[in-house]
Amino acid sequence: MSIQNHLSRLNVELLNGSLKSLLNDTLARAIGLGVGFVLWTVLAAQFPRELLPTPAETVGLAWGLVTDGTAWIHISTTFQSLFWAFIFAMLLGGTLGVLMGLNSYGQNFFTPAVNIGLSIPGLAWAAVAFLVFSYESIALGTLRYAPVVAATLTVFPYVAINIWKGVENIDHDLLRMADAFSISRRRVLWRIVLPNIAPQIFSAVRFGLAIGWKVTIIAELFAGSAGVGFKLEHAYQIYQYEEAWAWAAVFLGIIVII
Amino acid sequence: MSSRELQSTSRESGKNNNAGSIHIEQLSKEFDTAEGYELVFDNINVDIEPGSFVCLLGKSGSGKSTMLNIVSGILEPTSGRVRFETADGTGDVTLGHVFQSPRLMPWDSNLKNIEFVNENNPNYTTEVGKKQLDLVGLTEHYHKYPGQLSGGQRQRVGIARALSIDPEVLLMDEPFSNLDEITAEELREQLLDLWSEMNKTVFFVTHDMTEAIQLADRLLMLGDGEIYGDLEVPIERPRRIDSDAFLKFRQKAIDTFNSIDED
Repeated sequence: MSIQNHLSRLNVELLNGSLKSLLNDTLARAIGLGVGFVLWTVLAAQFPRELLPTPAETVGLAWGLVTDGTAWIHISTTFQSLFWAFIFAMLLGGTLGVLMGLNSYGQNFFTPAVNIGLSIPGLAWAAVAFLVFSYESIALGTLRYAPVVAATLTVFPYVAINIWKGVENIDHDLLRMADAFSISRRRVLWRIVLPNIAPQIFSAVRFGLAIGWKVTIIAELFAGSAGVGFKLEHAYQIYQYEEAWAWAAVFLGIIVII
Repeated sequence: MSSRELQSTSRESGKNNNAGSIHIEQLSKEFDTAEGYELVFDNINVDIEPGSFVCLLGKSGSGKSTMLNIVSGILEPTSGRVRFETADGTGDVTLGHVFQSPRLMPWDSNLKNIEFVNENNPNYTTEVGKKQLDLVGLTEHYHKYPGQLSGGQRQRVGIARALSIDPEVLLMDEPFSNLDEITAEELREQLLDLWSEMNKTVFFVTHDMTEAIQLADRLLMLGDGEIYGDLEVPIERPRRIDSDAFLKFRQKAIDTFNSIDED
């Protein structure tokens, strides 16, 4: 057998192997999801339809919200809050993380704030934000800020921790090399510092989006005037439990996409 | 003007291709430690001729790397100064650095690593970078990443990077100490070839006497805060480490090196 034939056979085997593994993983997930749906269906049969609809009915209702445009309006509102919360959390957490990573004074100065921030759940920030913004909301229309503030305060400590660890672990030998060759700070930032902390930045973005989305929804439940969380709470308040389940399905769908 | 300023000036002017001389004048360095001030060396005076290859030897903690860092401008001396002279009389010198570990950016290709240090070199082109990699025998590795190379190949990239800025003075801090002996030997030969082809002054720190005698025109020995040994190497090149002349001089150098313990 020629080397080329051997290599192409090896490639096919590797491709088959990874394809098989991917199919196995997908199958396992599909089975897990299927079992969940079956359990939900069985459970739904024990309750009145108005209280707990079946998965099929819930997905149907959620699809209806998507196709008639209602879902998009509120998803867009929630995403606007998430967007601003994410920007503020990245700016605040990123700045703190850099200051903590640069020297021990910065680390000691900000560690209590970050630790306290980590220990406070998003639910508590949502309640606080509601109390603060509902006071003036009627006059100023500031209630829409509550989800942004709650999500920002919940997410920034995670961002700070990630960036801190990234800056702390920068390869100082590379910085010394750049210093020896008299490389400008701007070039050092772009070519050494940012690539060095890129994994931590990506991690902070992933955490920030996932946690931020959940907290934004929770804050909307308490203090929103629009958005997916607000609609979920609103449906619950007017006893439209099926619709509440449908909004929960929309929420879960977006979590899966994120 | 500090060496750093001299270096920057030289890069901006874009001129080059002459070896520079190094003048270490009344150089002292002490560190502020928890136990008080610790003197590393005091009142050191050394002149290094342009185009010469000088090895600085010393035991661990003798201050070899500290002196190299002061010469390179990374550290400030407590007193004294380091002055450079060039053939054109300007004193504008470009310093090339080769470190103990190559200090390459793993996310950039070898060529990109070389391009990185040529920020202020108007004469640099991709072709210059490729030529430097050719000179160190890495023609096939322009676009490979440091992680795809062996330790010896990575150190070659480090040497190519230092040479790419066309320095008048090459500062090398135990560059082969982390390599196996066969690879280190290959790189020493390659370095000597490059040195004989290019007109560079080399200031090379090592703790390996055989390596120092193989490479250098002159050996400086640092210990107890002073240069206590200064020997010209009177052996013709190429040098064979098993030749009588080499072995005889090596013994003399070792005796001088150890003399500080016998005082």
